[in-house]
Amino acid sequence: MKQAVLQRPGLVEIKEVPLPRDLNPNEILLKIHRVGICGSDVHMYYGKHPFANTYPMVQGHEYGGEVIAVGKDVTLLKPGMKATARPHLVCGECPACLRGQYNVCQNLKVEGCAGPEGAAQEYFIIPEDRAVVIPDQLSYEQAAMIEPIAVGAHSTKRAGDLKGKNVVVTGAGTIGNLVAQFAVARGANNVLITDLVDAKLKIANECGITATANLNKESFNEAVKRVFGESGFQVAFEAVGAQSALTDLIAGVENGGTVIIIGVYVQNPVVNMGFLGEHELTVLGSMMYRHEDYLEAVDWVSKGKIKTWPLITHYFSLDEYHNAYKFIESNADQAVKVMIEVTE
Amino acid sequence: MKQAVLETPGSIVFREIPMPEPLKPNEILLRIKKIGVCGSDIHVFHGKHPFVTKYPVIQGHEYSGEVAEVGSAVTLVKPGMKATARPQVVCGHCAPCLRGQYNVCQNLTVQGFVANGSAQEYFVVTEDRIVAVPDKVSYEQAALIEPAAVGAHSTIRAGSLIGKNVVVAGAGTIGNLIAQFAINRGAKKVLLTTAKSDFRLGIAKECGIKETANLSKESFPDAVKRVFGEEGFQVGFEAAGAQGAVTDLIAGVENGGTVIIVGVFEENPVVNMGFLGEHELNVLGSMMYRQEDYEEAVQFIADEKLITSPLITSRFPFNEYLEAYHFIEKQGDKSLKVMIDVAGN
Repeated sequence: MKQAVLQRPGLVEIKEVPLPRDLNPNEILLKIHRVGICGSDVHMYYGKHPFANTYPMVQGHEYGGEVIAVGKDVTLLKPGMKATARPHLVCGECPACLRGQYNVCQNLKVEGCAGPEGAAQEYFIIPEDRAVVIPDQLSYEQAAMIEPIAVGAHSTKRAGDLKGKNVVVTGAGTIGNLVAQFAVARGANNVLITDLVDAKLKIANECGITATANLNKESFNEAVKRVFGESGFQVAFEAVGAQSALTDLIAGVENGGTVIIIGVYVQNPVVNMGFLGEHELTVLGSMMYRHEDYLEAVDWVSKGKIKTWPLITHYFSLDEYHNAYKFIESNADQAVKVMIEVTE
Repeated sequence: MKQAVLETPGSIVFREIPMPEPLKPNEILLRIKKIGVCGSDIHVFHGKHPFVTKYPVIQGHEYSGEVAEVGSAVTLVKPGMKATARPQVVCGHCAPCLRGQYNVCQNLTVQGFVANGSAQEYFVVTEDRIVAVPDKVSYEQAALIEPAAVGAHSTIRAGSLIGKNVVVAGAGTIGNLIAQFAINRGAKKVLLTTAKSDFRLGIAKECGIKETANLSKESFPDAVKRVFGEEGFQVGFEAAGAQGAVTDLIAGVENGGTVIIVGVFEENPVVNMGFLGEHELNVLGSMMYRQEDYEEAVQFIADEKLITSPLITSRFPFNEYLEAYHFIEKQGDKSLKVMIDVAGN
C-alpha cells in the first residue's frame, strides 16, 4: 500500500509499504478515504512545531475511513461503516489520566504528530476505544473534519457557560471558524471573529458567523465597539498563536472575563499581568479534546449545527501530498482546509 | 487633625487639616490606630505603580481603628469597638458589580491609591465596607486583615486545595499569608519559595510553614522534588511579581494544574504559551478581595489559625512615616511588615 512519509522538514515522499499486520481482538482496519492537513502538520512540515519534531513521520491525525475488517471483540463497528478515531495514546496511570483528563496525559503521544505513525496511508489500524462511528449520511470529508470540530467542542466547553455572553474569536482559520460556530451553537449572545484576510472572513459568513472584522482595515477596539456597543465581550478564544491577538484579548475582555488559549505559538508572547491580575481574568489552556468531544462533534455535524463545506478549499491526491504543502506555502491566505483524497 | 501626604514620589509631608465633616447616616468615624505599609505602597512611594500616577496621594489601605462615632443608621459597630474596612469604592452598576464581582468593578477606586486613604488621625468609612474586629485581636493584627483577605480571596480563587500540593512563590507578607491559608484549607503540602535571603523563610517557619526553599541556593525543580517527591504540585501562587517565578510555576505545575497570579509586575513577563495551552493550565488573576474575604480573615486571625506576630518586623511612629520608607529601602528583604503607629494601642 502507499504511505506518505515526511522524511525530514520540507520533504514528503510516497513509499510503497506492506499492508498492516493482522488485527488484535480490539482493533479495526480502516481504508483511509480523506486526510485533512492541519496547521500543526504545517508547523511540523517546516520543522517548527514546539513539540512534534521527530522525523521521519507519517502524518495524518484528521481522517475519515471505511471499516474493512474488525477484531473479534469489536462491537462498535462493522465492515462497510464509516469511522474516524482520536489520535491520542495515553498512559492511563498519571494523575491527569486518573482524574479523567487524559487529553493532558503526562505521557501523551499523538499519532501523526509526536508519537507513532498517522493515517497518511491507504490502510490504518485503530483500537475500538478511540474509534467513533460516522453516520452514513456524512461524507468522508466531514468525517475528516471531526478532529478540528472536536477542538471547537472542547475549547468552548472549557470556557464555561456561553449563554448570553459576547464572544470574540481571533483567527478565522479552520479552528477559529469552528470555535466561533460552536460559540454560536452554544447560545452566545453575539460572536465576533477577526482575521487579517477577507477570504477567511467570507467563509465565516458562509458558516453562519455574521459579525466579522478584518484587523488590517479596522482596529480591534473599533470592531468590538461596532459589534458589541457598550456591552463589551466576556469570553475570548485565541486561535491564532500571535502576540497581537493575545494582547488585544487580555486588554479588551471585560473585567472578570475568560480567555481560552488554543493557538500554537512559535514564539512565547509577553502577557500583561497587570490586567490579568487586577482585572481578575481567567486564562485557560485548551488541549485537543476527549472522547465525548468527538461524539459531540459527530452529533452536531449530523444535525447541521456545524457547517463544514465552506471550509474545505482545496483537494490533492495522496500522490500529490508534497504539492499540497507547496500550495499552502504559496497560498496561505486562500487555503483553509486542504484535503488529501487518499481514495478517489 | 494630622494627615500624612505623599506629595510627589519620595516626599511625605504632614499637614494639619480640619476634622472630617459630620457623618452621614451610613458612615462611621474611626480613630486610626495602626497602618501597615504594603508592597504596593512602596511602588507608589517610588512612582512605579502601574496604575497610580497622580500625586498627591494620602496612603493607607491596611489599617485598624477605634470606632469614635457612628451615623444614625449604623448597626454593625458602636463607639469603642475595634474595626477595619475594605478600601474599595465601587460603582455598583457595571457588569462585574451587577454579578457580585465588585472587586473588579470597572470604575474601581481604591482608598490610599487613587482616593484618599487612612494615613491620618481620623477617617470616615461607610458601613457596607466595615468589619468589626473582636476585642481580643490587637490593633496591629487588625491592620493585617487587609493582606490576610488577599490570602483568603486568592486561595478561594484556586478552587479546592484539599489534598493538593501547593507552591507559593514569594515569601513576603502576601506569600506568607497565602501559604498559611493554603495549609488551613487542607493542602497536603505547601512549599514557600523566595529568590532572596533566608530572612523571610525564617519568618515563614515561625508562622508554621514547614517547607521552604531559597532559590538562590537550590533550583526550583530540585526544591519541588525534595518536598513533593514524584507527586509534583497541582496549584501554584505567584506572589513575587517576577519573571523567574512565573516561568518556574508554568513549567512545573502538573498538567491540568492551576497558577494564581497575585504579584504586581513592574515589567510584563513572557509566558510559555505552549505549556499553558498543551498542558491545559488554568492561569487565574486574583484581585484584592470581597467583603466575605475580610470577614474570613478576621475569623481566621481571631481563631489563631493565622500566625501574624512574626510578620511585623518593625514599627515607626506616625510622624516618622518617611523614615519607615527609608528603612524599608535600606533593609531590602530583611524587613517584612512595617507598622505605622498612629495612636498607640
